[in-house]
Amino acid sequence: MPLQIVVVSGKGGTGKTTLSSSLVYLFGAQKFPTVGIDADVEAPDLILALGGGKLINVEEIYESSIATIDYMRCTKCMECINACQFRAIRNLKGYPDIIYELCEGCGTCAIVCPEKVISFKRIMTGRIEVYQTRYGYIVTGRLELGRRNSGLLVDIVRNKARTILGNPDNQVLIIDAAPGIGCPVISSIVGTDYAIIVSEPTESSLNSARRVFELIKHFNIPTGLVINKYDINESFVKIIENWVGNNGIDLLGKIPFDRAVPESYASMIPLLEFARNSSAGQAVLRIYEVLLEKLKALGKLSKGGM
Amino acid sequence: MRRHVVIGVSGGKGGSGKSTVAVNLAISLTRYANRVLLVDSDVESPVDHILLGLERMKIGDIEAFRPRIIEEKCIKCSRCVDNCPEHALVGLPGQLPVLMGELCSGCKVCFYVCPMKVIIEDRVSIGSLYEMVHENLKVIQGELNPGFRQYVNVTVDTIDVAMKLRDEFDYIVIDTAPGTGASIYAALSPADLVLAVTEPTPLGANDLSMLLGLMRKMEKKTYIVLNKADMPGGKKDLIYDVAERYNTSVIFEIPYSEQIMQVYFRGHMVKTGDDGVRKIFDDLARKVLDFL
Repeated sequence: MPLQIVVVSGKGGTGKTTLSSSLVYLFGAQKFPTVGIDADVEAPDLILALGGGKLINVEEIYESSIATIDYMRCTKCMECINACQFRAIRNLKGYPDIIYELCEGCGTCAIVCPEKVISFKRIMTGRIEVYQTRYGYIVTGRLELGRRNSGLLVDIVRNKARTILGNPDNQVLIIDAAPGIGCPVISSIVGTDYAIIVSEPTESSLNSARRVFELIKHFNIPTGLVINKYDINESFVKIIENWVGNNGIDLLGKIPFDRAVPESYASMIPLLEFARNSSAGQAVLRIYEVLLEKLKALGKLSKGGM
Repeated sequence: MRRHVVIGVSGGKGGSGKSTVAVNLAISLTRYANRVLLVDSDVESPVDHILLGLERMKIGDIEAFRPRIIEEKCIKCSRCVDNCPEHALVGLPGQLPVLMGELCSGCKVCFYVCPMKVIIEDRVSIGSLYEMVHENLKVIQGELNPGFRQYVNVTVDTIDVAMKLRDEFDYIVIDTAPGTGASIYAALSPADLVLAVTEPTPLGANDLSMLLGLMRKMEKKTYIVLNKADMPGGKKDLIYDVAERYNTSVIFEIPYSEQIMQVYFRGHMVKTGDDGVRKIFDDLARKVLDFL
């Protein structure tokens, strides 16, 4: 069984991708067969944080379907509009009009249509891209713009990622999740061994962290938390630490605000290679050590082969 | 003036400053208009109430269909199981179907295919609607309940409820979630103008280009607001290049400012008396009005 670690946040822009890319880098450097999974399929950036890579495979995924109406035979009874639970059909000048972006392809409209004039066509859900980098493989999901089935694409991306290296026993999968708590995030969390929440020291970030933790608790996954840019609002750090302590979450560490982080992005070089000795780089290294200890204590690292 | 001009605030990347811009733009617009509506459609992580420092009031639930099977009348034909697109109903022919609630999308296929009509409609709350009012600013906020997958439904319903009120307002500002999927499509559908808020990093540029791709598809007039324009280590050129590629422009640069960050941390923007910060967003509001 691979070791699967998911990085989540609730709120966007707290530093998930910075941490995920660093974990890919560090596990890979320790000779673990490591695959980074970009599960933020609406805005995938993990490959950028590793400085890019060689695109070795692209697969188009056609797992979505949308309803289409044969207007020659449609009697405009509008039964479909009433039946659709996703508000994906509207009345456009007296005709039922399917809004493709909102159509779930579930089939309800076709079942209720008395004339049986609604059929379904397969459309592209998105793409799966496999990159080879100096630090390991990255598997990225890329949802078609405006598409609905992001959770489905995350499931497919995760399955694909497991097979890239032939699924060796000691492989490590690092999942960079989308922000939020919705369908793609649930699909990213399910079945993982450890979840890491990245939070900034702000009320809005903690509020979102609380919401994503509700989700993680539901799946009974051991959880750690990293406070990113802790020194931009130090008075709030204590509040997060208290919440972490009261909820059985491991405090994995704190990363200071450090211009080395944006500078490493701008240079397209991973943080730990660009500025290993920067204050942020050192903090990430300490977090990695603490994480390894926590995983060992949980008996999870034997899964990873160490 | 045209009634109810709708301004969408999006950007692709998380944490680029969408909410900061949306909230402050709405506050600044109250100076130029009688009534402004702010819609927080980031239903997975709604935080506008925190940024505004306002007490929110729950005004309703957002519900979805859930099947309830009248067990004693079920003939165990498994039609519902076979047709359930999410595989949320499980069981073999001859067995009573079991519902895995967390997989149910609420599509209602089972209800319609059951030949005995023994699946009846239950409703489950998948989200909440909140309202806040401060002087001539009103806020409608949607929030997905943790554990439910239907973030798109909650976004659609939030926008729907807000847009029903549109005639009462001069300006409607829609704050969206990060991303470029269906929930962004739903949130920005009513927009007359979209502001794409981004930051000067390769990640900001990448996600911005995806959003601009979606906006092109939706035929929405979109302008870029560059947040943290002079941030340490930032690269503004990346954003200007994307702007050119998508035939739009950066209409405003928000400086990287300690003051804005402090206001953000304190989280009570309606009460902030900081003239420096307020002036920045008043300028942005005037700029946006020029474009309308």
